[in-house]
Amino acid sequence: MEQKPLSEYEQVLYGCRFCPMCKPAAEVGNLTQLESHSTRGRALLLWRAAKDLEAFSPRDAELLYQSTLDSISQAWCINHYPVAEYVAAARRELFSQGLIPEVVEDVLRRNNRVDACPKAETVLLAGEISQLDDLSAADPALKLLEACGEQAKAFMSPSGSLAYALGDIQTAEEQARRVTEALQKAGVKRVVADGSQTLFALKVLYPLLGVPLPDRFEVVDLAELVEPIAAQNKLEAELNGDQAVFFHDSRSACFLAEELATDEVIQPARFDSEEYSGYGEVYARPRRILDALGVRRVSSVWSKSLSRSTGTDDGLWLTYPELASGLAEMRLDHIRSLGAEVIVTESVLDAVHLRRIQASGELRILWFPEVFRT
Amino acid sequence: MLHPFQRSYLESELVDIVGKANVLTEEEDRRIYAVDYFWVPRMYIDRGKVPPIPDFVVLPGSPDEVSRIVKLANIYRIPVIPWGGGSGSQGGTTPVYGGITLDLKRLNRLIEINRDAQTVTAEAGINGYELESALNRAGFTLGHLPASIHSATLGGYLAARGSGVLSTKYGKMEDIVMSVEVVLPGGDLVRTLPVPTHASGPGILQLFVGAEGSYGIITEATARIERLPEERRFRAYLFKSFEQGLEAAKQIMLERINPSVLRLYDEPSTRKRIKTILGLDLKGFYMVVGVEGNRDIVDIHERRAHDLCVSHGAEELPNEHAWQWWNHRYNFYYPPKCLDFPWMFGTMDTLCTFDKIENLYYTKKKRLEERYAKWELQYIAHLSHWFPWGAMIYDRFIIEKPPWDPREALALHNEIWNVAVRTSLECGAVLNEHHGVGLKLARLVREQYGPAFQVLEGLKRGLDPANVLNPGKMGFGPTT
Repeated sequence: MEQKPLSEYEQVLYGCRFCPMCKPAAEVGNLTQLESHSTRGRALLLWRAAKDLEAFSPRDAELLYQSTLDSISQAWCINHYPVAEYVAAARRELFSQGLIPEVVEDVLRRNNRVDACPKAETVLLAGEISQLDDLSAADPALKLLEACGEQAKAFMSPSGSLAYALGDIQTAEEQARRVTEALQKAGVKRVVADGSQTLFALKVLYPLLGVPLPDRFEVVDLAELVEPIAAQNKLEAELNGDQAVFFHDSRSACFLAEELATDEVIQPARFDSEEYSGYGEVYARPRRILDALGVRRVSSVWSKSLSRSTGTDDGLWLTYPELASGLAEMRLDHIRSLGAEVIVTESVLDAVHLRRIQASGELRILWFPEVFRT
Repeated sequence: MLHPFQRSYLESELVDIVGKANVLTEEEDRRIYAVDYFWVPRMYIDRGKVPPIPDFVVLPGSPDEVSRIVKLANIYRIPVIPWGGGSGSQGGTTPVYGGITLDLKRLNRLIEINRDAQTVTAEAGINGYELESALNRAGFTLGHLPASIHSATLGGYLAARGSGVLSTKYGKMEDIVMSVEVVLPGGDLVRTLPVPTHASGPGILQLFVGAEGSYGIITEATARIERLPEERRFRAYLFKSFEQGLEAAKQIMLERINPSVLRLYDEPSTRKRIKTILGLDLKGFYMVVGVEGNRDIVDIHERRAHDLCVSHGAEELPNEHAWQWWNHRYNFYYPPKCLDFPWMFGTMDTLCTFDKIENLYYTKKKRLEERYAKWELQYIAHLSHWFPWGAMIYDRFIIEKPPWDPREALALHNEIWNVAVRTSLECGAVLNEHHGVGLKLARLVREQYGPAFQVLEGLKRGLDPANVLNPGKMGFGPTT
């Protein structure tokens, strides 16, 4: 992942501006069906901006925020054109020009804080949970950590990933710096991320912003911590082994993937396999844990780096909640069509959001720590 | 041109039909609908110019809404241009006279997979990849796998009379479709006969297939579907000459071997495209043969096709050279290796009977390469849709350094197309085989049909006297 000005993406935008090949992977585009919400639509707009052919208009700004960072198009593209990077670059320009939509400004204002870190050797950095503004949401993770022998406390604070996704690079940098300082001050040794969005901030974003977390901190995600304990059969699942379970990855996970989808994935016949959808421990580990627990998993091509957003990713649920609700409904429909009865997700935001949107209660939706009987 | 007052009135009526969220009036939303895969508007944008954009983009959510919009367009005398996935290469969606671009992608329901009848019924705006994936999940295939599958819609497949890579076995869209629901230019919603064939007079169905929305807007279609093959096999060969490859393929077709894929690349395509995309460094004429279906039948067809290729001088290539094409066949269309700007390029796919193919290939190649030597025009071709008595030649021209000035570029582009199409006609072939007419070839349709064009024109006058549906395409004029 790189952080360059939009003008430096002119060459890839040149390729994307007329290319419709990633349409099946469009998120908001497949919801609204507007061509202006497609990756091609945004690339055309951005190519003109990168070439200085025209200045951004307020509607351009809306179009660029009425999406996630669109990393799914990047994963789908056989050449993995850096779509998420150029959308982020465009948002940084919009932000620096004072052109961001009011709704985005409001979300940034509300999340421009770093809270105090409790004194502890192990903390759960509740970056995603901070978007819920509900510390009790961290309880399942804390209980799971306890079951794994970790006496952790929750540090609920924006990690900087939201500010980054919304183009406010100064706030992202400041939050990265202040989170690091707070961790140091509290004597923390081990930082457990509450989900991929937070893990992305710690592992990828902070170095990118020039404020890497010092090496003395051990950074892990929940699955990493749980896996050895689960392997010793010390954890029991809340799930009935007969239930069909679908594991949902958040979009942020793709920034931690070792490999995005391979070009074979674009064959229509791949619909029920996640074999070609991406690779990395971020995907493999939680699946291994579920498999070891005897859970019956169902799969879809729209997994791993091709996981379709539930709408929470990159702040969309806070900025354009109607679009986010639509994406959640689409995601639920898809998962239901696979015959799944339970959704397990590594993202607490996805779990909470999907529960709110699901009217029927037909699907059981669990955040990963809730899988375990603690 | 609409007066701003009229425009506001029309807008309020459109909003009344489909709701505010589905009427796009901002330029930022409308301008993307000016450009699909047609080279000319892309060139305009590439050169910093703005091609014609629609006055409104409207996204109807039901056939009834389509009908009401079309009726409204007749009152206002404003063009209605149907839009599917935006993958057309002929300018079929270019809003030459402005008007309402009707984006049909909200009509995207898969209505029924009928296992008994072995048909699928879906709304016209369903995405091709989504449709095929859903069919595959149920154990079927549409048998239509075009390069545009990830973008194109079912309605678009039909509007352009498209074909896919398995067309040699399963047919083109006009063969695959069984019936359509259409909003006629006056706004009536009609359905063609729900049977595979009939003798109730001429087929009305085929009037709408390939008409690019000129005779009506397809809102739903029922198509035949095929069981997923029990066995799918590919073999790859290298021929020493184009003639040997052609003859082997012709014999395969005349023996009714029914291959799913029969794809013969000429020497420049083998040398350049196959190397660039698949990484195979071959000298000669690369051919992929595919057979699929019942295992026992596949055994026989594969063996006979192989014997025919070998007896015509082919060297068999390692099997992975064939699968490589199948597994990566969409890679040909992704940047940066697809044909893209700043090049000028065009696909001139045409069709003729077996006896004319060689002459057509060499005549067109020579004529285009010689006449446009100054521009270093390259002519490449492969033959990929075969019929028992003829074949489609998918020939392309490429100019790597075309004129920069848009007017000059357009003039050269159109001149090349005139020469190419007239050469096809002169050699006993047709205007186009599976991309359609659109705006690109509209001026040449009358040349192809001669006095027979009055059949098409008479139908247009009778059905759409004000010419509101997709004006400027198929050789028809503007809205009156």
